[in-house]
Amino acid sequence: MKKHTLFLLGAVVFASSCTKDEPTPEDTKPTQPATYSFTNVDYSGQTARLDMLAELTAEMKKPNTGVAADEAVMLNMFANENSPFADGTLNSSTKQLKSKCYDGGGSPMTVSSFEYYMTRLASLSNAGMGAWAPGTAGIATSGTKAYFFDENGVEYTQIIEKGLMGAVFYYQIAETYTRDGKIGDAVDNETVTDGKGTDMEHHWDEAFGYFGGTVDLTEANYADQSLRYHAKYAKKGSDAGLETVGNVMYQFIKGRYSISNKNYTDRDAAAEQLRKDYELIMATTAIHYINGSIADFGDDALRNHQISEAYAFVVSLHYNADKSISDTDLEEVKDFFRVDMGGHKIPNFLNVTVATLNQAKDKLSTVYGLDAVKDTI
Amino acid sequence: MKALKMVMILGSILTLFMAGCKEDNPDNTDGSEFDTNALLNNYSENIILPRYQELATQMNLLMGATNDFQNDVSAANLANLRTALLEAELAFQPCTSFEFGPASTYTLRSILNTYPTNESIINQNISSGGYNLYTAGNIAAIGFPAMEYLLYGTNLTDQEVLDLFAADAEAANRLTYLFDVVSQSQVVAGQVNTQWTSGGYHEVFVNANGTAVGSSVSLMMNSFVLDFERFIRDGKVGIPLGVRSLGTPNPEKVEAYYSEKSLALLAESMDAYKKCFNGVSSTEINGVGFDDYLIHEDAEAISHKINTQLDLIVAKQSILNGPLSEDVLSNKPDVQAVYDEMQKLIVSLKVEMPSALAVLITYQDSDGD
Repeated sequence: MKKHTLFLLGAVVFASSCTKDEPTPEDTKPTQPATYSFTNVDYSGQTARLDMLAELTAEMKKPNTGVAADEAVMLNMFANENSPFADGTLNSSTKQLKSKCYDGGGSPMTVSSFEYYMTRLASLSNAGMGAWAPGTAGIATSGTKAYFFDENGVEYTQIIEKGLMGAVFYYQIAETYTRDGKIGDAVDNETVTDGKGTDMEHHWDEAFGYFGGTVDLTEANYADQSLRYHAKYAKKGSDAGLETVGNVMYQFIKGRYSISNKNYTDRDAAAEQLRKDYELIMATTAIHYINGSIADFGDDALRNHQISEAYAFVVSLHYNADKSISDTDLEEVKDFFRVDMGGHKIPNFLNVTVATLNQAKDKLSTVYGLDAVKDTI
Repeated sequence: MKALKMVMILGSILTLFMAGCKEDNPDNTDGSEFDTNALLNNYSENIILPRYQELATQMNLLMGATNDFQNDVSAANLANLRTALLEAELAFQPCTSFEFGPASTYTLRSILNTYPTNESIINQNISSGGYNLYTAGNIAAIGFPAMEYLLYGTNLTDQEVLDLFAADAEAANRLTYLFDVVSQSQVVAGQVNTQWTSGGYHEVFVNANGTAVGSSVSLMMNSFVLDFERFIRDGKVGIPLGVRSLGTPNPEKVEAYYSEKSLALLAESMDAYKKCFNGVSSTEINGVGFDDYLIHEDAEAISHKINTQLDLIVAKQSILNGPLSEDVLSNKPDVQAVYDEMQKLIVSLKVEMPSALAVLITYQDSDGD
């Protein structure tokens, strides 16, 4: 981005030190294409799930404008049952978000967490949508923006949408499609199916499909591309000079190129580095929204909305077994945004202060080596 | 939107270049380059520092009046305290355009002036006696609006206010709460002032030259424009008028609702805003400001347009009778006229001026969600 050029200069040194696998002359860079321009690429199943989340999000945003959210519609959209979508092709699709959602153990949000938030969004909005105040669920406005929060300032729409981006899209990329089960040496990379490539190629393309980018996306043109989900949020890091978009795209292209050329060393290197670069999307976006919530601390609508976004991106960090942040540190960051209800912790944004927001930000920036840019992301 | 900004930037770069060509500059030195350092020095030394100094002074006086009131809950001390509060609120108005650097670090605006205040949270805090005034949940229970609620209440006689601090069952807690909110605002205003004066931010500010994202000109202009758009136009006038509520006025959302001094604060704010644009100090010395920068970049017409429009806003607002909370109900067309003139200023402030000076307005969130 030209407009950030001057600002970028300061960040270049840092950017090269934090992305450990910068392209080197030995890499395939001289020959791998600059864009995701391969033959036999099909990720229509991922696109369908991205579209499903878009319709689910639209339903969840209804309370922002004073229309109650429908519990059955949301749960049906999550599971793709009973033809809930306006887009008929989604109803007839065999794809769904729920079956691909993380549902294992541990601390991260699971299928039942998301269903709980959908149910509560419906019950709260059906109970009434007056003005939000601390302790009272309702709508808070700022300028032309309006958001529906629970009594603790939590915007379920963000928790669910950004949370599912983590628990479905990121989780599928980090734990399924860049792992041996889908791209290991035992996976067929010989039999080419027209339009889909080999099994191994197809699996990698499916990972790419969850990103929400375009095949033409580069670090240079990201401002002009129509991006969704994590691809859209990767811009936050790139805007701050971290080349987040370019780094993620480079590894996606490298992996596919290596698979097609049967260079499995590079494939494995790309898979590992992709997970690292992709993880930075969550970290940078979380910091971006923490900064926003500090800047708008006196504005209930903007503060709660941005903390909800930040919290959901922090929670998303869970869905990668190789994550750079330790479980202890991650729980510590989450605790800045939660209260203990006697045995279980729930998000509550009434007790945050500028000081605790800064502590959460500093913890993330230290873990992810983002200290130099933490105030400008 | 980004593409449009790029076009604007490229356009302004071109303008800058062409302006350079037109200067009397035969020997091709860079003598025509605008001295942003002089501009930054003027803003810091003659405008920002004195304004924060005055705020800190008034906050100290307010704290003193609060102590007197605590020691002797009397009608005279209540009157003094109300006067000190108004003076502090007036002193805050010229500070709102600089919400970057220290003010951003300490969230000065949010702590001092988040309104409307939340009466029930204030009352809960007084009853419980246990609170952290810095939490998000208490942001609408602190600062000037909370002090006003405590010192004026709604439809209370002076004696009834005094009783709440002397005879009421929660009188002691209420006095403590008043002390705590005044103290918090005093501390935060003092921290911001100290950061600028002896904390090293003046040096950081004047040395961050240029107009790129992160430069002082960029930070200041973004804050200056945001202040007008969101906090003066919308906060002081538009939201009470009902522009965000389908035309239904919200009299209780005016600034200084309880003291009914909204118009005095608005007038002070507009006066300070114009002085800031023109680089005029509190002692009326006209130094290097955004107006001079525009003139230098062959954009005198934009500078003139902004000044003319600022005058028009002041002219329209001077017609209002006050208090604003009544004007938005009984005198709506005149308040609408003020808002309309404010609205006309937006394009000059937010598009024409930044474009002419090659500054990017970055405060708008482009997520669309």
